[in-house]
Amino acid sequence: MAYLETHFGRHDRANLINRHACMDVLYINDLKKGGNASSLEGEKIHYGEDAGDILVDGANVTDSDIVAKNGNPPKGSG
Amino acid sequence: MRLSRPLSLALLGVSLVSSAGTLVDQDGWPWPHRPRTTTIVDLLSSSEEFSPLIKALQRAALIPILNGSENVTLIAPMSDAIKEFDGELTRELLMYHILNGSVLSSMVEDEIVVESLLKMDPKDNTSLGIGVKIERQGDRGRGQGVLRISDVARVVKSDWEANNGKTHTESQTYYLGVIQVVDKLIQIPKTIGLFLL
Repeated sequence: MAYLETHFGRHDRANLINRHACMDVLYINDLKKGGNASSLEGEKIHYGEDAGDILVDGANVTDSDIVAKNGNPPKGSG
Repeated sequence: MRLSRPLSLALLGVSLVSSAGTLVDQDGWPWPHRPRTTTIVDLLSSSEEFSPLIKALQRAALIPILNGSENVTLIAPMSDAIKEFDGELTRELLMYHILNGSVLSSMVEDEIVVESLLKMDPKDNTSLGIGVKIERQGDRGRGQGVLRISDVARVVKSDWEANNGKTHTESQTYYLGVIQVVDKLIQIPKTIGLFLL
């Protein structure tokens, strides 16, 4: 992780952040329905409900629907 | 018998009204075919509690938008909430208190996020509205509990419904809008970047 904080790791740092972001605005009720979205990095992000937990690529959602001022997908995106 | 001109005109007016029959209804409303409306602003005007809010909406030129919109929800802060607010009641802040859609308390089982009229991209009218989270806290199983908006404001009077007097096809009143009265103003959220810092 120390590598990611350095100048050398800047591209990987950007990729890591992009792996955690997608073009869609997804709220908890969307995640419960299950599905997937394309991350900004290119890989698919899978989400759904499992035994009462909401999971995103295996990670448990602990705090949901923290609304932000921005986050509107740019025009022309899927 | 010769009548004076004003009296002639008055009698002519009376005869026209009487012969028309439908121009005056039982309540004396002069134009019965024009539906009675009770807009969101009409409801706010009925109580002194909302005078500060009405003045703020007037300064921000939002009264015509509230009067002209169908199916909106106004998150209406009480006068104490506005007095205690340490900030400026900007047009953007007030637009964040107007939600796209009629949101009734029965629609909130757990939590929902509803778009406000404040757009994420102010230059693009087709962009998404900034979301407002409404959640039910307390005994959710029986539809009880308190509605809380944006984690800070508590709904103190819910589902104050405005209407335009029309009837829906199933003979139900068509709602022009809803007011949810709250005890605090809600703040426009930060950007994602600022939130992570």
